[in-house]
Amino acid sequence: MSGAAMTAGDGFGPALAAALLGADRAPAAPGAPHGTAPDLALDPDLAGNPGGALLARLAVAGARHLAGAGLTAEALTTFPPGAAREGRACPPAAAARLALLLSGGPSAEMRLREWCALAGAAGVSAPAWLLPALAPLREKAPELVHPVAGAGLDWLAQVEAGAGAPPPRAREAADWTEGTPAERRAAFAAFRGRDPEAARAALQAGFKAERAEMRQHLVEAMRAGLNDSDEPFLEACLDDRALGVRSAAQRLLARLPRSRFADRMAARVAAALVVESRKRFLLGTQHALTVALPEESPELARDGVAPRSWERDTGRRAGLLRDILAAAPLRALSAHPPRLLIELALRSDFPLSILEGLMAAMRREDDHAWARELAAVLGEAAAGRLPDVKDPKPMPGLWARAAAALPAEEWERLVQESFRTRGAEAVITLLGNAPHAFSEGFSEALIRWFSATLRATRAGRQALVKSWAIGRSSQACAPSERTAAAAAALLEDLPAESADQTEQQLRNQATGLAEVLALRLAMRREFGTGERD
Amino acid sequence: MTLTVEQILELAPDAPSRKAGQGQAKAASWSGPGRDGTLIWGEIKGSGAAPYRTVCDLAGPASKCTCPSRKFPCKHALGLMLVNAAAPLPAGEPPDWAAAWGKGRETRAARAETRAAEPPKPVDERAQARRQQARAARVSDALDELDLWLRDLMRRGLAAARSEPYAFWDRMAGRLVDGQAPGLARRVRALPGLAAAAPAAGAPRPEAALALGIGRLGLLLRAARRLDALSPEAAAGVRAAIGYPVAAEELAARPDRADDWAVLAQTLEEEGGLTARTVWLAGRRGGAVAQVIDFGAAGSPLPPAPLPGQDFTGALGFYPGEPALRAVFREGRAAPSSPASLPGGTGVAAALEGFAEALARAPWTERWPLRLAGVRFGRLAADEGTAYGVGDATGCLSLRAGPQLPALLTVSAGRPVDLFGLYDGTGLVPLAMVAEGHLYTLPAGDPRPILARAA
Repeated sequence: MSGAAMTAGDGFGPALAAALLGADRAPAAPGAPHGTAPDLALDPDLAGNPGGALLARLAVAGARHLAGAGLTAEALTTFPPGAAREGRACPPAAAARLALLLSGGPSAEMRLREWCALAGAAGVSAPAWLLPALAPLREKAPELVHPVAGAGLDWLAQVEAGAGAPPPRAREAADWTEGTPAERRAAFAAFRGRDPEAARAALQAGFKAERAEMRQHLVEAMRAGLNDSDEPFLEACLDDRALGVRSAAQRLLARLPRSRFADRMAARVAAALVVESRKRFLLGTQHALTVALPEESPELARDGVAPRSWERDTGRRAGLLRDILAAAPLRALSAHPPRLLIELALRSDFPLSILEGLMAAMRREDDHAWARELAAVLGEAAAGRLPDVKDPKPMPGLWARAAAALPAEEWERLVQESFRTRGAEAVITLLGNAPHAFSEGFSEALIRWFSATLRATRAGRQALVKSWAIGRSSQACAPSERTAAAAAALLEDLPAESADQTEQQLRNQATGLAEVLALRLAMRREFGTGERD
Repeated sequence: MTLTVEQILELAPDAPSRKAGQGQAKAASWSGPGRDGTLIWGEIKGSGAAPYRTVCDLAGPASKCTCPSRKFPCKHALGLMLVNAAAPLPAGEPPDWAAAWGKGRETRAARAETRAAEPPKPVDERAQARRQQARAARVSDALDELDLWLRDLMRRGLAAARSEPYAFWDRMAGRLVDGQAPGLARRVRALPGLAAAAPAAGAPRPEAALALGIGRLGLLLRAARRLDALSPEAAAGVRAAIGYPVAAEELAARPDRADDWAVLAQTLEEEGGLTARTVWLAGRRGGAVAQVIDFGAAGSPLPPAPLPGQDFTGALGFYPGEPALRAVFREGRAAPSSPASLPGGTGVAAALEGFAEALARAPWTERWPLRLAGVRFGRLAADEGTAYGVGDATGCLSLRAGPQLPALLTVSAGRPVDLFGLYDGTGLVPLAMVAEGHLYTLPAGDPRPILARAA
């Protein structure tokens, strides 16, 4: 009830004021033209009864006030018509599915994301009557929700914010020096994406005045559009007072192979790892790796390499070596073929430190050639085919991590190979570092391998249960008629009732796999993008 | 006869059931499912030793399950209906237990019909008159007490009353219950809530809400004192507001109102261990609005009722009283209607006229259904914050804030829509909306900003 309506001439305002005070304290009602109805004033009941009289006055005024409620048409600013919906209308079955997913709670978020991705791929917009419920997901995954619900949600945000507010998307182009920290970061990242040079110049100009945390976030935002001309500024950041800023600069400099930072690291690697080659008559060339562990120093600490006091299982200086390798450019190791270096490292006294460092450098530079060599050599080591490897136990895990850096199709080839040649444990370790999505052929082969392993040995069954590999693959497997059928067949193979806990858990996992694949297939059918029977 | 997924989700008594029902909606977990006409059945393994037997009648919709859940429908029934909605179950011969339940439903319905057709048992006129006299005396005493209490309240002032503890109001309400005036008791019990409510858009300010509530009580009290001076219909309305029950014979004697009743909305309210389900209907030919209320004790199924988006073709019997609103279902059948429309929708000014007319006949009316046609959503310039409103060229009114408002705005997308809701003189609480040939309802008690598309 607005004040304007309260002061309307229906006598309710004064009656309410009197009622709040009470008949004992309120001044008697004036001979108001519409204070009390005439028949009430003559009511013998109310003579000498102030409470009753006030109640009558309040009741009549209230009823009049309500009956005369409502506002003129001018009081309302109607909303502008929204933009046309993006894409075609949502098929009813898909809309019903979205309603189901929205009432599925947090556990359904994975499917909700998938629904949005499928809708975007099919060029379908989310149904308008469910749109606002997608707003929380839009915060988390704008790239999924925006294509299917962006126009509607933008319109809603605009009418909720009021007529004078700018449309929400216009904030990105705003000045990055103003607003909340999160807004500033987003604006600076956008600025950096548009014009890296100007953004860095603007950042440098006011850098000293920023708070430490903000400096760190802004330096981190320079990851977008990082190039060699950023190097002097980042090098200067290595002397910043704040640890966060220094760490951010170290991480970025490691991504610039031509920076002074990279040169320093390469020199340290060359000093630490020396390959000596001796020609031996009749025996070809023999190589030996000499490892000179680095010493702690202020220069090293400035570049972010310092002993980690919490590490127990690595020596302090071996840890320094690992961190130097992890930050060094791979070109520092180009004097020898990668395979030779990896094999020598495996036979050295510090195999794990060197390999961990190499893996980090390989992942940072996304170097497929190194990934192939690492996967090949470590695969042999994991199978026990390399002589004199000092500590074979961590090899399968290292191998799985190296393989994960391969392109997806190469990873799938490698794993399919290992179905035939390796034991269940090794394959499960590989699956522990799987890409997000499998091809259809691989998905089928994987489910077939599951059922073969289940039938083979009890050890294989136990390994599958413990690793949760079946349940975990439901998200990555490609949903198609054939994979869904294979998963259903896998479930058929298992006994329905079993007292054995392993069997029971296997059945649960297989049920999950079959159900999730069937659901994902059904979702694709509802959009008309799935396969036809 | 099939139900859409949205309609089935609407049947769920609460959000946990909505979620749990989906957990049971996997065809693989049902053994021996089947359907025969509108009857569907299946067995599902639960936590008990024997599998639960679930059977549903989609025409009701009604269901029975052997699980110990106290919710109706239980998650198994919801799951079975969802399975059937995803892919129709195979037709077959129902097993004994399903057939027995279906038969039992038929015989119960038949027995009720024969009972209704039987001549009524002779009434002991004298005893009945004695009972009515005793009740009238008790109600009259309670009215005296309420009158005195209200006058005291007005002498001390509402500002002082706002700081009273709940027990102060509850005592008076208890006296009214003892005096067999439950309708008045409910109104008194609602007063402290009005006084303590946080200010919200589209709702009266707390002190004004309290004053209006007390004013309504005062008017009802005066009307109750002069029952004999009122027309029979008006008197019946006052008696209903006080809480006198309507005798079954009296209700059965009321004339039928045959029409194609469009089912607009369904709301569920929990009140003191009772579930009250309200179905709102509007006649396509006669243009009247009707409100059918059914009560169920917690854990007992409510009688079946048509769902929003369907048309109930048949008769309603209206309770005595004016303005006539509350009704009961009589003979008729429900069928999906399409395209959806809002019968009897008018412009804002005409709808407000209707509200004022209802107040003139029964000034103690708390909320009145409004049907608005061709209105657009917008923003009202208010003193405190901003409120949403709806309006057309003839006027506008504000909307009560609620979780589903954003969804209403999104569906309307700034274009004219038809809106059905309850109006209390300050703000409209939307219950259903018709846009572009579809009926959207607001899921009752659901905090999520979504609508259900009924048809």
